Amino acid sequence: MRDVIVVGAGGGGPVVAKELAARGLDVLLLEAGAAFEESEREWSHFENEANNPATGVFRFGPGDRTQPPWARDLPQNCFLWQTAGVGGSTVHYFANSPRAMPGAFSDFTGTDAADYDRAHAAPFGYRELIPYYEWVEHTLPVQTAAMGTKEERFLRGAAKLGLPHQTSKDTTVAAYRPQENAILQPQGTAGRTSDRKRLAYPSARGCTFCGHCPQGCVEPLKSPRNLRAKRSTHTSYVPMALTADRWTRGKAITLNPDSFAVRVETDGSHATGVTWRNTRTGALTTEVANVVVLAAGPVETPRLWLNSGLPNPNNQVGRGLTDHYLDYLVGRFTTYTGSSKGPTSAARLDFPAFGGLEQAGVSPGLQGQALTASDSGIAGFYDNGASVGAWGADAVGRLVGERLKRFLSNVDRLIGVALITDDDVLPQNRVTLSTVMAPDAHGPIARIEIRQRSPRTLKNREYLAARAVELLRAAGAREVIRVNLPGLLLHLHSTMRMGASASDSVLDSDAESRWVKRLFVADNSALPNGLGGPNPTLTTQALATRTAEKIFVRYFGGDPWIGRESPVSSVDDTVTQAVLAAGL
Amino acid sequence: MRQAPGVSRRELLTRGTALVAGATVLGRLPHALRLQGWLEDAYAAGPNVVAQTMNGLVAFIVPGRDTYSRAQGTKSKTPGGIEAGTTAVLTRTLDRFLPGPLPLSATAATILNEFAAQVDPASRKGTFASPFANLSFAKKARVFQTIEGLSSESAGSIRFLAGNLPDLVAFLAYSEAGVFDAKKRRLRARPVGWRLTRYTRVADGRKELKGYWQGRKAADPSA
Repeated sequence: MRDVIVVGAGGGGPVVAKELAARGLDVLLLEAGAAFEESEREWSHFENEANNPATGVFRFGPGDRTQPPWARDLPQNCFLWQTAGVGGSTVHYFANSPRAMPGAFSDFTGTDAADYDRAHAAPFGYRELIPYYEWVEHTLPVQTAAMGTKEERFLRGAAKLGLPHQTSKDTTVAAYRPQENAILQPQGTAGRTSDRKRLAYPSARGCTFCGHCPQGCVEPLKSPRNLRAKRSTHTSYVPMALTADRWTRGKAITLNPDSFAVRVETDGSHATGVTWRNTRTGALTTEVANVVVLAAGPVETPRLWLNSGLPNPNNQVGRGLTDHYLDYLVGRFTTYTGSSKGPTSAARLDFPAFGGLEQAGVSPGLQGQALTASDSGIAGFYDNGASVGAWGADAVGRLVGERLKRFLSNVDRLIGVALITDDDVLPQNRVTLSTVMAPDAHGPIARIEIRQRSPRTLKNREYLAARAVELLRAAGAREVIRVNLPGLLLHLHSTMRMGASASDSVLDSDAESRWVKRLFVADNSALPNGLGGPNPTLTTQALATRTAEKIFVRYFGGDPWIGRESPVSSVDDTVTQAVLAAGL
Repeated sequence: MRQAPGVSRRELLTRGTALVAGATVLGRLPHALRLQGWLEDAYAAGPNVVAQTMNGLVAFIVPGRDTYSRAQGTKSKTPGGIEAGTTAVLTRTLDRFLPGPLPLSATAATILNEFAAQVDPASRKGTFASPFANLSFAKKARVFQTIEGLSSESAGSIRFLAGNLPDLVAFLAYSEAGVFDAKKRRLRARPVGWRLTRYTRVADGRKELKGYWQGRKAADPSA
């Protein structure tokens, strides 16, 4: 019998696993996808090899790449970008780690409080979460991003708009800043040479400005796994969890890759274990545990819940999906921007109660993909009656043909701006089980419905689009395109939301299920709302740390440790020695 | 909007609505094709028709110096998606994405071709066996406009498929996909997309560090 079984080794699950393993608990961590034990060999800088949705290393599918990906029912124009495997979507994420907007929490009393989705505020205060943020920021660690050319131009443009430079981690007013990123900043030769011979660890340490964040990060070459620049959980929390008996007096977790959870076991009122299917052999295994933590992501966690036949008395499981209703604007410049180099996103603007903007620089394939995905038809031909504004942009819609080629004629003269909307929780937007597509080996598949946007969400997105055009013009863009993305589903949250009211939430204020005790949720689905717009991973990890502490105190008779102890960083020498000794 | 002679947008939408009546999800698209009498066309669409349709699509998104680009009226001095080797990877991606008795590439090709024939009936006879590939650039745009304009609830899967085709093509055309040797895990040639965008190459690091904004290397502690 395990103390705890955690389902999912993505952004949140490994946080719970590491924290409880460090307390000495016996933790089993299940991951549906690949182990990525030899990531330096398995991963690739090449865009299609990494990110092809059907065949890429980072697709949402089984570790055996000869098998097709796992299907989802997506009944609208949208693109769902998720990765299965140890690290989950943090292997391809940009590592942006801002804290949430205080207005998304119950204790917010600002004069603009009414401008937030207060009906779905977090059931506890922002101030309560700060120590957990600090713990995670030290553990990952999170650092202020250095600049390349694209960041320099972005930040200069932002300064011209008259906004202040934010120097704190907490956002209180509209401001610009370098990102707080879960990326080790460049030291030694990193960022200072393009010569591969000089880029191996330890000559190079931290971010080498290679420009391949979406393809995973194995830089600097030959670095120990826990010292790689980008702090995916594959690099940070998982190695710490696997070596908790070495760097501290804990118990190393058991990690089972290729293990797709198909049922949460209960005795009717308490979780008692998990049954999973080995994706390579098809074998089913059940283990019992004192506590079960679901962290399979905001799509698969509600699917697992529903497929397990767990209670759903208020019909809220899967509902309330928020996705930041992302958009993308791109400016074309007459001079070098270095858009394909350096960390994908290292500068941002935040507009409390509206959302934010972040600089995005990618390689040609992803840049081309982003410029051709739209709900506004083809620029110059038709617009589908989309009611979005140009706000001074030269075109709205996807670019195709010669216009696309002309715009993309120099990828290093572009600056992309991702628009992240503070969007409202609506019950119509949800994850449910598909009744029209065939079940797979793990049961009925998930259906993701994006049905409606609230007037506030639409207003916020237009406000941010206008600011993005101003920003790009101020930075010197000669031509600006607003793509008007359809659903680009990569910030997904709140499908198992925690809330103050039992009538419209699945989890209580401690992230424990309201109807099945000893069952917790620790991924983005547990978030109460869209956080006001900031990228969700850091907040999910802070919340997962808080959840781990709640579990330890409530069910294992332990004492809380946040605020009483000092965290050990995942790049601490004790961890490095443990990782090397364990042969990770 | 640019109208094709003889077929109104309303008529196109009416025909399209009939198609989607049974196509609530990608997996049921073959069923919907059968209802339209298109399923036989889809199965009969030999590899040549599917490949021609995919070529017509690739040339539409990233035109080049190839015959498909010239057929749609595009005069490009630089190579495009077809020279990049996109077509084969596109077909493979679609067919791997949703395996079934009817390959997704054939389903996609049939939908594009049937709507192409409705946009311009003359496209059934032309240089290519694929009506879509025979269309002008503007009429290809109208095919997408028609598909994206399908408003019924059950059209979601078609909107999903049609909505993702352009960006999938662009992603593949501008990436290394067409020249990547999967066994050796290296490139057979410099990708066309890299040439078109003046992309340097993949690298383990770049000399691009400019320092820190205002010299600040850390945020202030929490208040």
